[in-house]
Amino acid sequence: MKLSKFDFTGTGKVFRFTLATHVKNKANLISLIILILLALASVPIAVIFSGGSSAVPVQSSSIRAVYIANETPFSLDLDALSTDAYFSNTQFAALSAPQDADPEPGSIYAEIRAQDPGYRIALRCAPDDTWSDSELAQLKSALTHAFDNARLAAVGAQQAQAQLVSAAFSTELVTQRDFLSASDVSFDTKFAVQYGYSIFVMMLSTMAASYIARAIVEEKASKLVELLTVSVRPLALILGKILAVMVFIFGMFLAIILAFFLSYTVSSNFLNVSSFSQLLSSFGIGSQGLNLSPMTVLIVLVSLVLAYFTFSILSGISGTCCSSMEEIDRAQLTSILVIMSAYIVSMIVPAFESGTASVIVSLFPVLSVFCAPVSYVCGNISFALLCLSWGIQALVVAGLALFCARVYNELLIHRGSRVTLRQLFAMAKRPAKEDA
Amino acid sequence: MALTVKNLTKKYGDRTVLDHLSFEMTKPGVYALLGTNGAGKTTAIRMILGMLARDEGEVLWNGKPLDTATCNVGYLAEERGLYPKYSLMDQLLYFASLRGVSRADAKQRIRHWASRLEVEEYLYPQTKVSSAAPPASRFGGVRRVKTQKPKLADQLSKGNQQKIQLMTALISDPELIILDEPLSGLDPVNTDLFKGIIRDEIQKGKYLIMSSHQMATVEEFCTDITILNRSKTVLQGHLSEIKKSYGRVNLFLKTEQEIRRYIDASGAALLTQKEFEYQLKVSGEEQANRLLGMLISNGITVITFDLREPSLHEIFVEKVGEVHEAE
Repeated sequence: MKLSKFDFTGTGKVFRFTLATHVKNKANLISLIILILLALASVPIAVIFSGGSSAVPVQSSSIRAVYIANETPFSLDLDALSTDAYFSNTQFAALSAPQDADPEPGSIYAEIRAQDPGYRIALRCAPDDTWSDSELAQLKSALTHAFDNARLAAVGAQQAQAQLVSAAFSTELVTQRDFLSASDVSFDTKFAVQYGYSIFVMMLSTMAASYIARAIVEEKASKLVELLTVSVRPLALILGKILAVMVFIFGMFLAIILAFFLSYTVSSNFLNVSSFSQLLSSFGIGSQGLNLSPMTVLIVLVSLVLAYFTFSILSGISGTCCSSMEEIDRAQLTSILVIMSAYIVSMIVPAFESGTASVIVSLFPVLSVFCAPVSYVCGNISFALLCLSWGIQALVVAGLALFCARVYNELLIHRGSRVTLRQLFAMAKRPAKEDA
Repeated sequence: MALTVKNLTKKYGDRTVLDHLSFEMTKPGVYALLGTNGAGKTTAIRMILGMLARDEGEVLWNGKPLDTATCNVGYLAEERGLYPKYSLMDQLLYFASLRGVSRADAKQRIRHWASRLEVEEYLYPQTKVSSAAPPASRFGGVRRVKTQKPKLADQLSKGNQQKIQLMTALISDPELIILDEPLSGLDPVNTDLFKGIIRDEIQKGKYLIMSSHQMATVEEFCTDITILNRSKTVLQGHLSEIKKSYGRVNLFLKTEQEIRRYIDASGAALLTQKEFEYQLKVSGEEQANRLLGMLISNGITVITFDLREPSLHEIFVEKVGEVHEAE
């Protein structure tokens, strides 16, 4: 028998066997196939239910014709007006003089004349036509733009100069306080990113807790532990399992993500998938303002691995406190309660919109696995703080591993009722004796 | 090669579950750890194997701390188990790999032990050919070839599971074999099979430590014993010497006449009587010979006169009983 608790000989063999058993497990395989099929079907189903179709819809005005009586010396480019996609079905025609009669249904009279000061564009509709305000506003905007271009052309401005002068701009009125505390990322965006990431971490952690606790209790209940610990140290045994389950779960998520991208790529050839980006935009998710880059993928991966190790060691310890499969639900409950609590807190934090709150939750163990990467991506904490958060998480993982090393040997051999938290700490407090 | 166990002690709080156990195996053979339930046998084995931390003591193999690097150990635990839903072959290959046996060697050894323990049909796919022809078949029927899948652990009987577990203990061809209650729960046929394997291992020069409640089995194999009672060693030594120290005190007599009055006159204690067969406890050879002389001089026909040392069972009961009485 090796003398050190930290002898990891045999970890690879435990890893390979555990991974093989997970991959060969029919229930796991069926779950994976169902999830992949759902991911493959998700894009077409979402597009169909969001009103998408095979043809890309072009939104256009329902105004049939616009008759323009231009009493100014500036000549409007009517062809340019028709090139606007929105007015592709609208006919623009010039009138020699303003008309007193009402226009035909579906048509609009536009009168452009000089007034003191400036100019006036007036639109007149048929009595029975009920155009929406936005449609009339679009027409008004198009005519104003065309009239501006006509005036600029009259003074000899080139097209590029005209575009420069008439480019759109927006104005915003804010207080000084709001201006100073303004963030690049909106509340909606922060909430949506936090929501998505937290759900992902929660799924990963609960799956890890479930798989690892089950794998350990199965060995204890099957009375295999003694046979195994003759050849492998307990820490090597649990590490092999944790790594195998990690590869299995991450592989499963990767397969689902790949299936989703495959579905998106294939669907984009047949369906209008732009509704997806519109959907994301409606949640406030876009690349603008977020610290998104290839580095983000790495940051998310590191954070997920740390989250995985934190919760898998916790569930490993709670699983080892049980002696039979009947106790497994209670063992999982402990880990899942911790995960759910952290998840709920992570969902509440964006509501505070406070930089201090972001820093606290990014550094606080267990919560940080949910909050730190999102806070960084949303620009609430710096990269240095993110690294500090990782450091603290790594220390927590190391602390849990050391605690595990102190109690795991005894817990594995333990038979009888479930070990309580008090008994667990009593085991850990016992002075370190010579380990065989 | 030698195994030395020195002053192994284990305490849980104020409770001592193993108190300074020491013994030594200097040559191949079987060493028996005997004791009542809860005496500390399994704790001792777990400490020898390094599963439990020691409060005191050490275990040496060839003068060095027992280590898988220096000693190839095979262990059949008292609490026996297998993964219930995984293939037996995968499990055996896994346990073999943990013991450092290459896959090719492991497959060869599994084949050998499967044959020896008569469990081949559970480990390898079986092909069954059915020649039963449908009665209406014009061509005399079709021979159906059906492949039966290898079984999972939970589809095996307890005895067959125990055979697989023994395979896991022996698959690395260990130098030191620790068997905790190896024959418990086996039927007589499988008991003989297991005994045969233990005999083979002894002949191969292996070191065996055996814990058992079956005293007859221990007597059959063991050269040295330790009897534990409530964590303490109450008797230890070479079995034949221990027996010799008790003297020949068990007398079995078979006669053709009733001899009760001669037994009473000799002072021997009558334990059991069935017709003219008597089990007696005598103080020694002198008392037994005096009784025999008395019977012959009175014309009693003696068919059997068998004077023996006490059995291990009797020694065990006596030693454990002494401790209980003293307490």
